[in-house]
Amino acid sequence: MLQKPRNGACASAQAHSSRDLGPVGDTGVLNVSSGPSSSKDTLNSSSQGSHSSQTATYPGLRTQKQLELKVAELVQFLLIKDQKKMPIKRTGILKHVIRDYKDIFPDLLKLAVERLEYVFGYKLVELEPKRNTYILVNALEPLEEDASVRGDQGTPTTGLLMIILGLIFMNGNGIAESEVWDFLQRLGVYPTRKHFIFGDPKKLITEDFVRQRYLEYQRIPHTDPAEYQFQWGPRTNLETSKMKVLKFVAKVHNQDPTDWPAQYCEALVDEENRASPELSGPILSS
Amino acid sequence: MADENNSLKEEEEKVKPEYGAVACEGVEVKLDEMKPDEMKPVEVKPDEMKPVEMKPVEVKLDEMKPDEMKPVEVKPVEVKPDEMKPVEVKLDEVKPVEVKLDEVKPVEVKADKVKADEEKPAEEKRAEEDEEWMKMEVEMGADSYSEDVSSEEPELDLSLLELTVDREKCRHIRRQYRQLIYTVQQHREDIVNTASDTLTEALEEANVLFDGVSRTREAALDAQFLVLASDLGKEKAKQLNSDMNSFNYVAFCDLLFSFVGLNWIEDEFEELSDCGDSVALSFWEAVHKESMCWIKQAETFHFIFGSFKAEPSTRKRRLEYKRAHKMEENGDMPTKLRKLDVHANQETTEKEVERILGLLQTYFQKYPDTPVSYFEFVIDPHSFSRTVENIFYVSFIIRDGFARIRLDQDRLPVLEPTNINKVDEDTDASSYSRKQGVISLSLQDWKNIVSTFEISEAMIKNTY
Repeated sequence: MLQKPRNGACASAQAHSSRDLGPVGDTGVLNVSSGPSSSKDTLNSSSQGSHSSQTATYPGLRTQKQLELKVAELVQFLLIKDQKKMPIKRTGILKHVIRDYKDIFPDLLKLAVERLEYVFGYKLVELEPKRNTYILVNALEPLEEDASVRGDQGTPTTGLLMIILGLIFMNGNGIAESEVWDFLQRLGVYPTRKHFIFGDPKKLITEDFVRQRYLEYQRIPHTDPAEYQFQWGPRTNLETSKMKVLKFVAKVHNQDPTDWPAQYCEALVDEENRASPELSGPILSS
Repeated sequence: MADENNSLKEEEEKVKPEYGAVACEGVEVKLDEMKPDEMKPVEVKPDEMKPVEMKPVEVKLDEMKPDEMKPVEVKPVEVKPDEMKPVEVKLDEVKPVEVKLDEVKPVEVKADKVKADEEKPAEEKRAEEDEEWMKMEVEMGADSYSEDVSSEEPELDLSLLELTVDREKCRHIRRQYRQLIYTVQQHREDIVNTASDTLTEALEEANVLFDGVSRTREAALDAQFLVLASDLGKEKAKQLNSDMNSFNYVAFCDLLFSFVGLNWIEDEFEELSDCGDSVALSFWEAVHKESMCWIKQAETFHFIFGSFKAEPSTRKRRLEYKRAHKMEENGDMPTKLRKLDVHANQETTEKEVERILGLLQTYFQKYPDTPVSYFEFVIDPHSFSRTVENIFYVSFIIRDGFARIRLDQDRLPVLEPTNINKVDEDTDASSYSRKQGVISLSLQDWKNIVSTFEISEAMIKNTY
């Protein structure tokens, strides 16, 4: 394969801008370099992919420029789709961005993931294993000093969310809806009254947060009239942890997290679980 | 006889291996007349609850109709008195089967009894059935069964009486069960949250009730109650756990305020909503700022100058606005505006002009040969904007030639009608030197005119 020596050359070059087309470049050889961790395997597989695609689809020969464009489109798509904080579906990605580049979708996605991480500092994470929905999570740990610099985008719902998450965790990983409202009413948030910041709080909590997968809203069995309870959703476990929520609660109380021994133990166990099977965690697996 | 015996035996054996005993402590379910697809096992799951002493009682199924036999988790069976028909069981259908997990008891006795029954008169058949059942219970009484099973040598009269009483008794039991379930459900909150013995008492009551249970219907209700009680028990156990950690909500709430720096809230105001919006906003922003340190949220991406497709977002905003308005609002309802049809401007003008022309001509008919003072006609002492509109419309009238404006002796403008008869002058009208006048009127001028001319009311009346 004529590509190999080229790969060796561009591996040392800049991460993503390998404009190396090679002597057969004008015919559009698929030459994808995958950053500093470039592996010949992906290149070979992608080249094989291109060979198979040559026979399969009409625009089988793709130039480097086209690929770059596609990756850029994908990154932009993911960033904009994340505005509403709703999980991004793989079918959506394939339909709107990838279209006929389906065969190299895994490579494109991989590139996009890397770009997001290195340029923006975001991680594209699979929400639930094998469900094909993704979310963007900040790869950087938040610093307190940055709080003033952070933009005020939209309504400050994270505060409300964090309070609810704290309530759920401190109550043993599940809390009845009625108790949540009892608490929130003391803060001036009512399920039936319009709130000047949050609009419709009931909708925000029981629908928006649930759709964003921060919370789970389930019916308690054998209750009549129906009652519901809140639990942590999958996104919460990805973006924050029990220890962090406990620390938040402790900070508000101006106490130490160890003052709540049961919750502290639970949080420690959770931390251990996160630390050890890190590799088998919810990392993007295409 | 023998054939029948054999057939019965066969059927018994056929049925036996398919069904196991009820998964409850010592309760046995005997099935006669069962069809394989109807029989669903009675599932009772006592999880995490106080050990309940349930005396083992046999459950008889006298009449089993396909739709009546339902699994326990379903709502109580609707029993109508009509459904309790007398058992018309033919001899063939009687399959007294004893079902047990471990033991296999000899069935010969039943066969003999069946044989014996044939000879007895028909009306006693039913009684015989019960008799058989009772005998069965006696046989199986080898294990730890209760003693309230009827005596070994039942008499026919007694059994007949018992059957008629049974229906009432069963109905009564069912009613009691349902009442128990209802009360427990109503007091659910009370039972779970307080350290009361209500749940224990209810369980004991159910225990007592269960002694009288002899049919599946009541057993189903009992099992339903059991599920409910165990659910409540589980919640109580949960409560027990969380009490140890003592997470106080009220303290959390107050501490939130103090954390944000709003210590004075507790003293002066009752709730956060009583304070101004700005205070609440600052509270939520402070909490938000702190929360952001503990959650790795990705910042949302927005173009600096916005993106092109603005339409979808405005539509959504409008919808949200409408939805927000549907809820209860603190403030007053905004005064409703009438829909202004902007496109009908052209027609409005013409209509107005015609209307004013009509008014003018009426005036001239009433007072012929008296020109009306321009200002008096046009000015509306109550509304400056109306005045301007009137001037605008009158200018159309003058332009079209229906009226004339000229200065009188006092150099004040007056409106005069033109003679419509003089059609000839139309051609001459065009040859007339078109005089143009620009009237400027400021608010102050208008006020001065109103006071000078002492105009109390507008000549041009408005329809609305």
